[in-house]
Amino acid sequence: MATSLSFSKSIIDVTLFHSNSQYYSSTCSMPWSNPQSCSSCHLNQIIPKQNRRLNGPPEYTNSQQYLSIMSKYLPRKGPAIFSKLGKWAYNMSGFNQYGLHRDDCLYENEDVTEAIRRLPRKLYDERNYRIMRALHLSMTKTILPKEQWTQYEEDVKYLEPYLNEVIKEREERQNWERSQ
Amino acid sequence: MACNASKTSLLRSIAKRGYSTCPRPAGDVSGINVKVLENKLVVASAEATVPVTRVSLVLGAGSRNEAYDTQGASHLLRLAGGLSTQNSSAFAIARNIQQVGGTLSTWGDREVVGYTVTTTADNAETGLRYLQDLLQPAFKPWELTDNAKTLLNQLEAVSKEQRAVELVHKAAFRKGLGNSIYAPRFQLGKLSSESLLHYVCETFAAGRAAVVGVGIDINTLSGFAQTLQFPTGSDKPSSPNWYGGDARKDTAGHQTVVAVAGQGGAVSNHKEALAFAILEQAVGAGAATKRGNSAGLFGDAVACAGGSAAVKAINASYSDAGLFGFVVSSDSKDVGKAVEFLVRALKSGAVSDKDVARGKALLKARVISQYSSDSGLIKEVGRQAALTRNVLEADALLAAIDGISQSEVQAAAKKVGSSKLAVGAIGNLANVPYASDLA
Repeated sequence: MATSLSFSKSIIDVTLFHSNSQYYSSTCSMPWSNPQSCSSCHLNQIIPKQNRRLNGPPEYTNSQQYLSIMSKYLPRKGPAIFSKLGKWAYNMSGFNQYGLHRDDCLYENEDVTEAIRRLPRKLYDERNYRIMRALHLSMTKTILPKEQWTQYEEDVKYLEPYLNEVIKEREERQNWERSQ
Repeated sequence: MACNASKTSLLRSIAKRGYSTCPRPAGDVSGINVKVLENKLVVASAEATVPVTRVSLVLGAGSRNEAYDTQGASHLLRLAGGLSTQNSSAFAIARNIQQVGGTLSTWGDREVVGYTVTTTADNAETGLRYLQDLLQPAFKPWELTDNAKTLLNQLEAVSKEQRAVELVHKAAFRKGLGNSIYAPRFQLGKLSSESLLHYVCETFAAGRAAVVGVGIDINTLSGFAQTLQFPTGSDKPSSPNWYGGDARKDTAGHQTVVAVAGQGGAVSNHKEALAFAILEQAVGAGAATKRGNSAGLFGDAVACAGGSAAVKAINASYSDAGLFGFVVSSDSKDVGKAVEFLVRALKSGAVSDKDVARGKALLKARVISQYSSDSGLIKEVGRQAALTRNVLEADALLAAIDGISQSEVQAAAKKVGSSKLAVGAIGNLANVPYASDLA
């Protein structure tokens, strides 16, 4: 992560992106489009819908006992316990200035790699977009404008449900091997 | 530890016969208990004293319930026996059942999908505990993609004869019963978890399902079945129409397999269904010896046509429709003549009383052998319980077979002869006639 944080950086016009003054355009499709206007993944339920280009999943009749597999993987938004110290630590760590979420910065051990493999395509593409953008910012020794920094309350722990499941499965395997 | 698996309590080992004795002599059949619960689930059990317990959860989720967009869902349901469920992971199911020396297998056809767990009698609880989880499969997206190769392997392993039979169903019924039991290749990777869960929600209704057991008593099984949570399900599929016509698949090589069928007997009309079953054995039972010729009308027709062809009659009786015909496999040069002769035989419907007697004897032998092995019995009981909501004992079935007269069998033959034919063919189709040519 960048150690020199400058708070008054101007926006650099990069030719990789569309020529709006924003870093991403709402007219082009993934992976350069605005990850906050995704409409078919479950992030939609916690981020206000903006440009809803795609129809959502079809409505099913007889849905009383219909369990959507994806409803089990709704991520947390924001901290588990809000605290000012937590907010200060989050801002000091600085990854939010690259537009990254906490789960983008996890060290990729076997569990995390497997959890990333299980991500739905949309989340996977968004993660890659954020990481590539951060790498680019790091290379050009600059950061995002302040209004685009990830906020402590807005940070989505998208990988957490998948990671918890991977860890649970690994522990189940290890407990089985141990007890046999 | 593994050695705990073979311990059995003293009382249990006295009550049941030891592992080393043969369960019972072949040909000996026993009583079947049937019970219907309040949620319309049928529970059936047979042979409560054998040392191996098989319990099967049979669901009315076969391929006839698939819509055009969900083709292949029932194949994936059969695959789901090895995938995670809502409550247990695939690892837990596989390892726990293996640890007690049991097996879990899935089977299915156009009308039902069944999950059977086989364990020794004292480990039946483990088997049941993981069987109940299979009622709520999870269809995790990564598991579906991880098993894509397995699905492809299963499709590659389908024989040409089986493919011809699937094609003739497609020609005859188009949708519903015309859907293949195997997932079509264009659907591989296209069925999402949501659509599969929706399919499960529609078809896993208690009113179309059955819990059957061999080697477990009816009270234990009913107690287990009471705890099962079934989704509400939707209506049964509508009665199918018979269309007839062609379904052809050209492939490379010289071999051709052609299946031709006319309308058969539905299970709802018991006598007609039995008449068709007798007819199948009477005219085209298949060879009794390896590389032999089959006796009966179809065998004679093929012998007259010359060349080398192998023919077998097909008879499929579903709840509300049936299909009867033959499937012939031959070199591409000879198949045209063979099919012509066979269709002439099919339309003539000439069945002598010797044929009928032979058909009855062969059918009774098949019924007895199905009922006398545990694995055959559980499939038989499972199908009957799920589809007809009642199970016939072997004696009742044998008596019913005896009760069919020659005129009924001849009427069945006339029915199939006068119906519009459906032709399903795969291979080198240069000389294969169309259905309109055969009319």
